[in-house]
Amino acid sequence: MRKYHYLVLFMIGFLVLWPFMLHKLYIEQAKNTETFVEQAQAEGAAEPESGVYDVSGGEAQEEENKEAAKEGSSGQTDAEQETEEDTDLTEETEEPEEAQEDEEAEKELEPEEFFQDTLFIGDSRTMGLAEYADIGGAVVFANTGMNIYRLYSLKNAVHDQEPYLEDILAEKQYRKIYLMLGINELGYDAEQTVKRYEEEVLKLSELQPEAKIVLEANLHVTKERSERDAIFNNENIDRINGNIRQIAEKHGFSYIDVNEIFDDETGALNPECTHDEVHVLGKYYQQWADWIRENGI
Amino acid sequence: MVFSSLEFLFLFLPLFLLVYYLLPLRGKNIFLFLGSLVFYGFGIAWNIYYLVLIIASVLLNFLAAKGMEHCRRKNRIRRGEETAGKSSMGEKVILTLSLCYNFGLLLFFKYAGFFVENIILPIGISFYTFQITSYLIDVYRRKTRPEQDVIRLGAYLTMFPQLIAGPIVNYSEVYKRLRKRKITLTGCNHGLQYFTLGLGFKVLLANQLGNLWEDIQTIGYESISTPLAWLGILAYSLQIYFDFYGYSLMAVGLGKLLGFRFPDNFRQPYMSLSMTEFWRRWHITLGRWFREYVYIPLGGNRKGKVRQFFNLLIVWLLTGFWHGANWNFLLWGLLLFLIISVEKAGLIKVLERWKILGHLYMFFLIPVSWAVFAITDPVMLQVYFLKLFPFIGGAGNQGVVFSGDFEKYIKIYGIGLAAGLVCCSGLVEKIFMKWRNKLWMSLLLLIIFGAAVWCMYRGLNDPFLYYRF
Repeated sequence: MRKYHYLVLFMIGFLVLWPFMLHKLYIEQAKNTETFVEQAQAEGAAEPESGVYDVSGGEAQEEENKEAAKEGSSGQTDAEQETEEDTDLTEETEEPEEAQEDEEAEKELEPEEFFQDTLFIGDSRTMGLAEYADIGGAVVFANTGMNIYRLYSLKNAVHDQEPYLEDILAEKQYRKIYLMLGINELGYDAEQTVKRYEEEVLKLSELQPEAKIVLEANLHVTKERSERDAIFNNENIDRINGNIRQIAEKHGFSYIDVNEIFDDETGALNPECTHDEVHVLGKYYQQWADWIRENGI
Repeated sequence: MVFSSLEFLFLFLPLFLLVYYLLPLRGKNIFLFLGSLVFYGFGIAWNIYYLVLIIASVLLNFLAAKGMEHCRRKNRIRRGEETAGKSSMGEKVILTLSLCYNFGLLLFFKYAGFFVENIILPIGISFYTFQITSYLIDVYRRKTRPEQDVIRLGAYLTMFPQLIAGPIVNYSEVYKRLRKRKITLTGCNHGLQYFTLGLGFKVLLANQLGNLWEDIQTIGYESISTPLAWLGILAYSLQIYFDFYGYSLMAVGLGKLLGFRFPDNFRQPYMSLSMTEFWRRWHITLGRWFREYVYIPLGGNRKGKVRQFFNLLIVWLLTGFWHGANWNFLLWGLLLFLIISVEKAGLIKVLERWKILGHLYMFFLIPVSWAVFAITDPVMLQVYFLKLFPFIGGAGNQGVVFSGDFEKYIKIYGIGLAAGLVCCSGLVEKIFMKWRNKLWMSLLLLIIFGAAVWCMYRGLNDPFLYYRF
């Protein structure tokens, strides 16, 4: 008997695990076919349960997805919402006048002063900006997998910065706040995310009344990634970006879209700018920062 | 379908073993052949041509060996006993033609990518080509008898534990067990132990360390600091080892479960004192193949010093070639040739005398040689080397570097790297061999198995690194 300890233990362990693993395999199988169907229909309506993996890390998100799914189960269907957005987008294209004035004032600033008293909030992409671009003086609150639902519970992963957003906001009055979030939320219910995004932005402007709030469009992923991913694809990114833009217009915030400098001709992240098809290479973050400066927003 | 996937572990393997254990010997071989083809089918996404290719390889080489036997017999009858042992013309022709077929296909698939797009290397072709040619050459050399049963030869060549990533098993090593094998509970117990150990190395170490290398590529080589460049290539060195070693251990374990004994493929290579020694302990079955079928036939070291170095050069260029159709693999082979030549010229005596020196020397050379292996783009390779050795020139160091990067990544991967370094030393294997029948060891292995399965369940698993070759 002594010689077969492991064999016996292994068999027991294996038999216990077996049904769970078969169930998992069955779910994966079902999901793959579902993905296939979704792609075929070119619909891309995100199912919360299928957001198992996260573009920019964030392990604990799966559970979160399910919670969010429960919360946001009511309301209109995705299809209805979609048509609504489309019409909205074509109607409103001009920026509010107020914002333009601000921009001109910003342009007069010296380059090294540009990011002073500025706060960046975002996910792993914004983290890259903090690490690989010169945004001298700016405070950054970002972490891999950061999302709108966990703004106040996730810790800051940026070197030498306060860990929680609450403290960062309480610390001082910022002049400008840049916010790039939305891609990690694609696995959640879209409507719920937009609602929450709006709430969080309004809360920000309440806590920081003097700050100019700049909502950033989320960066695209590459065409290849977009085509094989039912959730983190450019169609969904464009949809959430459209929603963010609407929120900006509704409340008079600025909205910027940095995709123009990293997109290829198909409107996806240029594969030459990235290795993992999601994040731009370290050397490109400076271009992003420079672009913000040049545009004076 | 890799061993470290849920499909393999919880679907293919239990169903396969269930049937396999119930069948009589002949049925076992047939089922092993068919089951392995199914396994292969999953690996190649049911590309029917690739499946035909491997079956054709079994059939043609089976016939080739039979053909050689036939020629030999005819020759013996015609010429009498005195020619016995000498190869006839017919045997030579058959051997040449069949080797041309086998290597021709391998070359075609490895290098067609240069000319035609969308040709993907059939998984495992590098391995099964070497395996079947070893069989043919052994038959020609009369080291092994030609197999009379095509099923047995098929089972040998396609046997799923070693089909896609080795070890490269010689036919003579499984000859007996294909005819008679006893499956014992002790054997299965050991097999599961080896498998679990390999799975742990692969999933818990290699995959996690691989993420650091992946992170570095996501940042881009231009934007990493010198310490991070070294950390990254260290992580890659550990990853490639535990990936491949883990896979080989799993293969050995699966072999035991099926009633076979496969040769060891690794013997703590990172503890070597010289590159010469390293390649006797790393991917042993590949080194053995090149020695037996290239180096020694070329004359080995018996034809003078100059000829010996020439033979070494051929072997190392071919080794580089075998790993991939990229120029950097040739460069890598060349680099290994140079290092080993210098060692042969006398350095090895110094390294073996002062062991500390040998370890330091290898601790430096192992990551550097893997850097040449890992980075296929020549421009990028140059950038990386300028990062590793910034004093060479400043050209590659213009990019913005995040000065806290080393600190950031050592915090994330420090434990994994330390665990990897400890596991390189052979300590784990020693402890395992000494106490493997103890209950606590079984419990420990069970925990490793559970942790690995949990990682796989959570989808933290990566495709097998060595798949490409």
